Amino acid sequence: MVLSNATLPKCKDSKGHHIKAGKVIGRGGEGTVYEVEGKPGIVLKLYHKYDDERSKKITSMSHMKSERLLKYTAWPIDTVKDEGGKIIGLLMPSANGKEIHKLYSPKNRLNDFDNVSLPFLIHTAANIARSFAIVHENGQVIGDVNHGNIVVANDGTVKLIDCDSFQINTNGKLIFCKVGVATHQPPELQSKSLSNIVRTPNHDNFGIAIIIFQLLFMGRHPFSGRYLGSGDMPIEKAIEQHRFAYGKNAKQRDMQQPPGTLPLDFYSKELAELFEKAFSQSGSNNNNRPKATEWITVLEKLNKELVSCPLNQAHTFSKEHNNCPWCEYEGKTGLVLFTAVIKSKLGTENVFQLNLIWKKISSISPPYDQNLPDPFAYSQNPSEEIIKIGKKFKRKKIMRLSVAIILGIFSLLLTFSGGMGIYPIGGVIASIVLGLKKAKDLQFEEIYLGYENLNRKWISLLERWKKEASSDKFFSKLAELNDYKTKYTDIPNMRTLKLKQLEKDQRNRQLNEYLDSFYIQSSNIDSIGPSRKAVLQSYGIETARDVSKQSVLRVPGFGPSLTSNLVEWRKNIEKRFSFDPKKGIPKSDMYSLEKEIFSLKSDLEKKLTKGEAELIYIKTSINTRREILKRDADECVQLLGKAKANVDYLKNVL
Amino acid sequence: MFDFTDQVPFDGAEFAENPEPRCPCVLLLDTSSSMGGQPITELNKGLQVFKDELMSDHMSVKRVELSVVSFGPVNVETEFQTADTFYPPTLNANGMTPMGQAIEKGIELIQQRKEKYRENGISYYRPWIFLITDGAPTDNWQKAAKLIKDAESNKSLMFFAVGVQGANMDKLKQISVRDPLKLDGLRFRDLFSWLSNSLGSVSRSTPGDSVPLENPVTPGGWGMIE
Repeated sequence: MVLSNATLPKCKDSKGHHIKAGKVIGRGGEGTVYEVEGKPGIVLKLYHKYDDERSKKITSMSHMKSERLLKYTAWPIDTVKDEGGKIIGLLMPSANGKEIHKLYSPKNRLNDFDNVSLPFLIHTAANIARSFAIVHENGQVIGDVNHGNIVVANDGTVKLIDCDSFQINTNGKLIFCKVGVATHQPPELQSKSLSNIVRTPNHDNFGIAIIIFQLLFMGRHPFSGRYLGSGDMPIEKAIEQHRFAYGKNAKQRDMQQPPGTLPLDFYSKELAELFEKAFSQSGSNNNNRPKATEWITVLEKLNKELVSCPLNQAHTFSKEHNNCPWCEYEGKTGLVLFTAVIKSKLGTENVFQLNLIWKKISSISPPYDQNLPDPFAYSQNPSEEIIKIGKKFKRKKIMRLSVAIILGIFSLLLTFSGGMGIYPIGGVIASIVLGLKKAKDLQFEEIYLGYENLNRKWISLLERWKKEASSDKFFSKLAELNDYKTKYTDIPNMRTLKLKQLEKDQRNRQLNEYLDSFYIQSSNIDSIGPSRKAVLQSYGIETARDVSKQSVLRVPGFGPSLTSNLVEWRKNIEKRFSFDPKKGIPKSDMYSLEKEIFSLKSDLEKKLTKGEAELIYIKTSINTRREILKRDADECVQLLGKAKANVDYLKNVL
Repeated sequence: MFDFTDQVPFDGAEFAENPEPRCPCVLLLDTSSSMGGQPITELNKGLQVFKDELMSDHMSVKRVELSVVSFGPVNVETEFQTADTFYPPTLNANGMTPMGQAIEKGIELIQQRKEKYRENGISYYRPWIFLITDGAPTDNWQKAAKLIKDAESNKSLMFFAVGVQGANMDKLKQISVRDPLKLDGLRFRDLFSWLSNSLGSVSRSTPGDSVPLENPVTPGGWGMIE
């Protein structure tokens, strides 16, 4: 149910100014967030329920606001009260961007962010560390660090949201943070009620280490690994028992990092040490975990030391690797982790080269044409076990037929001998029924069911093949890119056309100005005296520009003949008009034309540049899908062919 | 320094792409002949709603994995997958109600899936089995009931039973530890919408947490108590 804004209470800020809620941006468990009319960049959060302590908290928070805090957080700017003066919400800066989990998860990040590269991930991680540092420097604690309350913009800038859950220190008095997502809470807080606990920056420092780990280790959680003991090992239990799956003590704690994941020292020794420190048992003790500022230093250093892959521009890695580890990783898993960026330096020699890009795009071969094997291509023999069952069926059939024949003959004899009247006729019917009956055997049903199940599986595989593994996506992307290319080469033509249009517009503009200088009031027009002039004026027809057949006919009292007098008058004036090309196209019009052309051009350049990587990505994912489906299909085909042979054999026997 | 001695198993690619903790959910759907006509049509529509709703929640779509098992006879319609690759099957109704066998199959599937998670170092939430029936078991269900009781008591499973008009609620009470719910009419769509929301709140919690679920037995809710 969507509440209309009409039912919202009247809101005022702390100075008594009215606040008008606009569109709903989001709705959560605690409250609803609205745009604020007339205040772009600022949003309004209205709580569902009043809470005294929270009101105090956001009031003191709004007094603490500073430029530094607002740069990195959606910090409350002001409280919002209803007409009775009760605090019902707050104002805060809007936070544009996407939740951090959308960036660290390889599954959706290429769709959600323009450019994802390792430097971008590291840069974002460092920005998150900065935001933590700023909050801590103000003496406050975030408390509930999690995958949803850090948002990242396309340029890697971040904002902490849901700040009203922070732990706030106001003149030495603490207002608690009562919540926390267990996957990001430190061991010392696991399985504790959070409502009455003093949170410290050292607790936050555990959360930030988790987030940075997730960003750099392709979405993996540091405490999610292979547990070598028995039973389940949920994340929060692993955290509580310091079972860091990538650490040097992992083995002692019965943990192993998941297969195919990056080793802890993949990026740098210093980074590995920070993680060890953050997730170790001793980190729980006073302030032992790396502080936000330590992460910034190490991450910035790392970003400076990266080298680029000579084969794939999307890949950058620490210079300690001899070969590009991402090429290997992507090759092994079939995943694409990063978006390609083709760097174009400023300067003339390195402008966008359509031919070069297009050559690259058109040299990408489409996915191989592949079909699933035909399960019935060659006939298989039924298995021996089935032949045995078949023989059993045959024996049963012969038995049944012999019984039927004997019973039939016997009954016929009895009937003809007449000794028992016509009753033995029943025996004859029974024998016919028995003879014709197909042996519906339970064992056969089971075998048949198995075959049907395989068949269904096969059909669903075929459907999935069509849906997930067809080359259509590749070709439609290619067609799309071709379309961009055509548009790109057509840009000069388009510019010429647009210029002509502007010139034409210019002529019209001059004409209109000219016509506007002839007033009906001061002209002599046949049969149009002062009173008719007054009527025309009251209908908005004042100058030659306003005169047209339609406009005049609409005026009461003006028939065809009066109208044509006026139209003739206008035509005569128009004849005397001459266009002055020297006046030229106004600068502002030229400027907006060039701007339009430029943005179209750079948009197409961007799309074409990205296109290469996208096309490769689509191709890889189609091939990967195919490989997975093909493997399933091969297995299914083998079984299905056999099952069909078995069923056919038994059907014949029955 | 970067050594792939620990080869990525090909199955592992799905976990490399999406290492989020998983919440496996098996739907055990009664497709015995009494479900024919309107009920099965509504059930099929409900499955479509289920997919759409899971897709619309960006945490559920990464964390909830579905497998559909129909019974009458027992058949695994789809194996575990996240909502984006889940294509709801179109179910047909004919046959008996081998509920006991279906439950055993569901438990087996979950065991296998958990094994996969463990191998690949993926955390998981307590798995769900969600049974929908309009009849009574026509096979031996005592073993299945015992498996459920054991699994529930060591917290390795959540079992929910929903009875459609005609279901033997007494039998369901003997099978399920939690009170079985009665579906109001054929409101499968509301039921699946609720299920998606509930799985959504689970998938936003932490593996191992107990999550309070919205009560479907309210005025306007899809559930009723017999």
